[in-house]
Amino acid sequence: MSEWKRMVHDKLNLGLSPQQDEEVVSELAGHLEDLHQDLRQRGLSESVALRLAFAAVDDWKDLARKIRSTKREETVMNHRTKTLWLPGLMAFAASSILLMILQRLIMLRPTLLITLEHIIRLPAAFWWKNQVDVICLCWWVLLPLCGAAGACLSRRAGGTRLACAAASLFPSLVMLGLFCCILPVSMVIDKNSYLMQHPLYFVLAMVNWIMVPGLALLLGALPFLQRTTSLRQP
Amino acid sequence: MKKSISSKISRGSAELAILSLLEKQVLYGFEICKRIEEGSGGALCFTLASLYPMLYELEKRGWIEGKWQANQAGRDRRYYRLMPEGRRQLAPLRKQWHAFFVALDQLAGVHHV
Repeated sequence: MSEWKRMVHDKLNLGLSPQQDEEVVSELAGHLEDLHQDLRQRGLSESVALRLAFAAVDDWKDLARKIRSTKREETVMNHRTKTLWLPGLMAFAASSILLMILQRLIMLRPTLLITLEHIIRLPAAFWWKNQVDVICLCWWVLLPLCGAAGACLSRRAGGTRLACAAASLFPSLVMLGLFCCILPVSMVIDKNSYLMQHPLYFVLAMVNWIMVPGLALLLGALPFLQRTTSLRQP
Repeated sequence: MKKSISSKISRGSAELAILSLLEKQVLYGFEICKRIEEGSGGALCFTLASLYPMLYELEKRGWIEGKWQANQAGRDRRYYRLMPEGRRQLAPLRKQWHAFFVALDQLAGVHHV
């Protein structure tokens, strides 16, 4: 270990992983070494150059605290987790909970259907017959809120436009994954011939569960996709 | 006589200064300090204590990336390069600083070129 590294190692109590500690110490020691050499090249004596290089940091504890706060956060949760996975999962959870609430409200408590009967004047039988469609419609109408939540969280974490869009579309992407993997597998392994015989149903299900919700989610995300960077106060 | 800028102001401008430098070439920490000092005629100075937390913060955001490689003297140094996301942030950052100076000009008569 060089003298510079030993000095930085002694002064800087980071408390990070050994690998991160080693990297930061090496980098800062290299900086001090370059500074010392630069001062020597400017004609300063060895003792003065050493003193000035040592004085480059007046508060090592403060420096360690600042570095720790940036590096530690990185260890706990990386950038992609903060800008994509977490907001995406939040949007997915919100959309699923929303669907569950609507199902319970409409199927178990007919209050909502009765209200709809009064607002949109269609025969009562229509509402009771098309309960599933009503649930679906209400879900689509409310889905932009879930898309907005995902995009908002992603943007607040410093996500790119693509990350914001992906986070908001996450519920649809999950459904797309299900349709692309589980259904074909069920056709091959379980010999589920129903889907083969009714391909139109499959397409309709794709539209209902992926395309329309995707558009609704994206609609909610739109305001957050117009990028502006916040300027730190000088 | 060199006019040095207060540390509070220079800290705020560090983000733009670092990204602008890395837009042109890859540099390691000490070189970044030197270039900023030389490029600003000594008005902007970054010490080790002010530079590295900022570099790590920018790296965490994915705007820059550091990689170890040997410098001209054969010593291992951590070279930083601008990432596509950092490049994307530069234009709006420049615009906002310009708007800031225009506003300051109108308010306090602080002229800038």
